Amino acid sequence: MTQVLIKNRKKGIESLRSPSHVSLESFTRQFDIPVSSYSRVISEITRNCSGTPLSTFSSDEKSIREKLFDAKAIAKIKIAEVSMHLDTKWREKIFRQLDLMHDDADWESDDVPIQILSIVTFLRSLGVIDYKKYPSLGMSNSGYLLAAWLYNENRLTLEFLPIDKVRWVLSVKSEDSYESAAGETQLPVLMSRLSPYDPGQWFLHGNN
Amino acid sequence: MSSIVARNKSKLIYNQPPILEAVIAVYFSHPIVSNDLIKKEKRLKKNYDLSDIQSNVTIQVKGDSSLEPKFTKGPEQKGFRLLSTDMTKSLQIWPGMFLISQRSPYVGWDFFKERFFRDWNIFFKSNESKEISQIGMRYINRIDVPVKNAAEVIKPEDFLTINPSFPNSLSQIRNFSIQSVVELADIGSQLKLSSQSVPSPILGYSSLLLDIDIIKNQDLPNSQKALNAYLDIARVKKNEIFEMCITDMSRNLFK
Repeated sequence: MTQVLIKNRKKGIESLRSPSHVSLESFTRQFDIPVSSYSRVISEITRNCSGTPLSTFSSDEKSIREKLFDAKAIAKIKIAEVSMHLDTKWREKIFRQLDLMHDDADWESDDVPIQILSIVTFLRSLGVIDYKKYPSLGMSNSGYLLAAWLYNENRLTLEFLPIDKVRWVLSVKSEDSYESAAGETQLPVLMSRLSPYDPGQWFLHGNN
Repeated sequence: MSSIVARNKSKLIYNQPPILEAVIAVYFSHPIVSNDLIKKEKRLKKNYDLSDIQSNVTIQVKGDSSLEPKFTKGPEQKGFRLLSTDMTKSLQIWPGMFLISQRSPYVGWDFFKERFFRDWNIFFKSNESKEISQIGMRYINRIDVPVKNAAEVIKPEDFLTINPSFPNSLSQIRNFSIQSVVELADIGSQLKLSSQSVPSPILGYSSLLLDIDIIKNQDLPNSQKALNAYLDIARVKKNEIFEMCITDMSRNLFK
């Protein structure tokens, strides 16, 4: 069993700061809304040529349910933009976990939905990380996406921050002791920062 | 081999089609009254997971150099948007428009057209007047090209056959955007064709956009059979245009 399952959201989860925060069961919710540069490009085209309109999407601040719907919708639309690079199972898993994270049944008014800039960084990571093994996804209480891998007793968690920034926390077992490490880095150099810990063990071992 | 396959245009199926969004929009000569639109939305709801109301408001701004601008709210139009839970399939209905959209992953023409007519036939009962004033078929493609590093500049002409032309001394193009309107006399339509560089959503890639919009506003179909025939013809034309606008280097990326 190398897959981390996330059943229920828990409240008050802080962003990753140190290995002590690598509580894999503590992942949960949140997404937000800025307009992507790509969407802006599309709107420019539409405005300039008055051609066939696209299926537009806009959102206003409304009830919690509507807010959650908007956050999920915008995240899913963003993810759909790269779905040619995602296999169907992986895409469906991401959508399922997004839905779970934004369950309105136990959502509180001060909870923050997923930040779209975190999703953007996550999607950009597809060019850096070979997601052969799908991670479990969760959300910090700042609305940043978390991805967690477990290989035997070795754990890796990434937190996707805006503008290509990633926080990482890991613990690996060596002989009888555990070694922990953490850091915050830019996506382009993430793999080199993880390289002393053989990151392939988490990313490349297929799905159960 | 790939170029031979690619030139057999009607048979081309790509493993990773670069289609970001496909849209068919039909405009009506006579707007549908609000109550009828509500009834239509109720009938269409069963085909989608979610539905919400959309508003379209026109704001007029009047002013000259000596006065503060004056804003006047124009008439508000209500429409409905119906969606699948994964947000990839949507239908928008407005008093003057029926718009169906498929976001990536594109499921193929047969499924897309089937969904169009499934909803169209619910939207319009057989005895209803449905005079069409315009049909638009729009496909937005994004070509993601892997690059070795952020500084690498791709040559658009390696991937697209419609490109800006510059003097030799200005050949390092960072960004570009071009748009043309072309008559498609053989299918009585107009083509709005755009290509441009766009930020890639994936690190380590550089992206180009190819936007094909075929618009018909004359000799419009007046029956479902004629509409079906036109959509098939427009789709074949769209595929021809797409193949004409890309290179084998692009085709290799979609395999």
